[in-house]
Amino acid sequence: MPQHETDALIIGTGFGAAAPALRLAQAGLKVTLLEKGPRIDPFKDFRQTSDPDYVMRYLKGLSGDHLALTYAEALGGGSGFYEMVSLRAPSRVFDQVDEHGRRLWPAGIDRAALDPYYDIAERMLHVTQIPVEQVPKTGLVFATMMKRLGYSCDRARYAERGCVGSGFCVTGCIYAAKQSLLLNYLPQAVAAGATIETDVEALHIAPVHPRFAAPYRYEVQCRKRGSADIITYRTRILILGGGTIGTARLLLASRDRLPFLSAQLGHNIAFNGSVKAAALLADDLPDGDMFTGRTHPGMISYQFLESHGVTVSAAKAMPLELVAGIRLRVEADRRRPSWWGERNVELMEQCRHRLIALYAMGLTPPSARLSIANDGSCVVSLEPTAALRDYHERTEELLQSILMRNGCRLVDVEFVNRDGAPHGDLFFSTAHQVGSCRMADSREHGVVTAAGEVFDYPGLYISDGSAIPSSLAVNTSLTILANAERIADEIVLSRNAA
Amino acid sequence: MERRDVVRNLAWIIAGTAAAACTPLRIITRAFPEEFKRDRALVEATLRAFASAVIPRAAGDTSNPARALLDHRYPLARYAAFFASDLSQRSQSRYGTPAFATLTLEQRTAVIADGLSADGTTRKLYRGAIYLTQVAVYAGIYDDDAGCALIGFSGRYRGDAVSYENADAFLPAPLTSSGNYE
Repeated sequence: MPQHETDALIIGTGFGAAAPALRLAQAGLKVTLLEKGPRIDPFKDFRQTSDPDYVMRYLKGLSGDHLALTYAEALGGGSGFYEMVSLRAPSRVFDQVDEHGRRLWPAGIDRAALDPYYDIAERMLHVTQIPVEQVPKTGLVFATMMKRLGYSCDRARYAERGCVGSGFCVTGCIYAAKQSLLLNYLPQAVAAGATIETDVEALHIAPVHPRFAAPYRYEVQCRKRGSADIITYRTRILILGGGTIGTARLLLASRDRLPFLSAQLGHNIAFNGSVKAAALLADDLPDGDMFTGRTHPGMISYQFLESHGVTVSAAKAMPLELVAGIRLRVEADRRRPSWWGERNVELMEQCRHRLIALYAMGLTPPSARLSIANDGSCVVSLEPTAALRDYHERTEELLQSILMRNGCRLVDVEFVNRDGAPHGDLFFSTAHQVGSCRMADSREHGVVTAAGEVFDYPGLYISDGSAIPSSLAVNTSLTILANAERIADEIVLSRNAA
Repeated sequence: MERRDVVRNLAWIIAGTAAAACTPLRIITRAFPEEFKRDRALVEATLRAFASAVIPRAAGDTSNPARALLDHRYPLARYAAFFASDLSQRSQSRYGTPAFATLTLEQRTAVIADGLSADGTTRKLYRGAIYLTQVAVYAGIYDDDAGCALIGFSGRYRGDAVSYENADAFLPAPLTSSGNYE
């Protein structure tokens, strides 16, 4: 059984993993990163394609009755496939409280505390506000609709250099314009001495010595894809950065070896309460363009953040996404069949230029949960509470109101379940899941300290989205990265102090 | 809708829906007429007729709109012969002819609707076949360059104009100076 020693072992290569990898390597530690997914060369491997084999090689899904989560498994984590939207979480995000009035974020962590780390993350990813002349047509149509109603709208911020607006952000940017971690953090970490192993899955974590033995060290058992052989890594600093699902799954699988883990492990998943509505544009509105321009169409409205706890944007989708697992039909169109056949063709013919989709991201509570089923698979569950139903209904009404007051004709968007039938109940889908191992002031309320260290396990850290304790109402990547920079800073400082 | 959210559903269709639909069919697929087991041309013609009812006018846009139903990368292909025979049987029951491919669009639509109203397993099979056909044709999954002319999808990016020239005129007042809300 091959055994490796390293100073710092990092599981994952996404937003939560890349910053500690770079900072610890720069601090002179021997750093090793393990990535479950395949290696990607950003200059060769990305494609502008709808080939399911390609898409499913990197993007994975986990679905429950009321919530579906999407995540990536590849070098760079989700950064190769995200929409490159890079926004700071608004201050009020950090003031959210639980049902007992307790603040969700640990003491001392707020927007002001994260701002210096947002600065670093933005510099690293070259984040800038989109120039007016590059706002995609869909974003301009959305802006027009908001303007007509007297609402505000802001140009969003993106991690890109030289974007041509090809529209294939989520299959990977073939122009290397999107600033994925493959272009900055990871190569810089390697240049600083870090090594990256891909196609290696971490299976279990265990402390090397009995509790309270010093120095505290960890052993991680891994397996290379396609091999039954177990590889073992030993390390003094173990950082989990495999994402909200990956990190929780690894810790849940290691629970018998790490018996002092908080009972909150796998609980408290926040999901940015994503609500969607779609419509055909009124005749007096200009064409949008579903298929061209950066995937996130340039504009975000904070108009309803204080009043409704949501931000609103337009959304774009390629044909693959428009028909994969959803049913579209014009509301009140009684002709049958509606989601296939001639009616559907009529609608699809209009989708590129005359279909508009809005979505809201909201401050929904961290109420979803991840667990391991008897067969070892991961299960996500969400209790459809009255409050969540009310949130969904109110938010959907808000979006539909924006569309209808602009004279648009609503389109039903029904997500289908595993059986291909429409979900008959409350249903959220997102790629913005956070919080399965959240930061908290005590192990009664969370899994890690504000410094990212797992309660009762010195040297074991979590620096990814699973540590983020609340919904953000904006895309999560920049906050995950900024928080990872902060935790890396804490690790380097504590090591220097030691 | 968020794009990646929806991509996630693709996994269901290809690995989930179709497989879930087809698994129970293993029990009954031995029982369908021999001619569908032997005659691939008959199966293909039937499935083409099915696909062109799911997406009328698709035939003019792609060489074979039923290709995905016969593609062994997807679970449905294993049950293609059974699926074709089921279409044929429903055609016989409703219109007195087993030749589904010779029916009019309206008639084929009615036969497919019958399948979608049948027992749970059959319903799943029909739903999976419809989704897979839509994905394959609209998204142009077999040719990155071709796209789907029917819906104005040109496949890969071809230098289309991204924005409008007078973009400033579209924008309302912002709430922030940088795009970040305080």
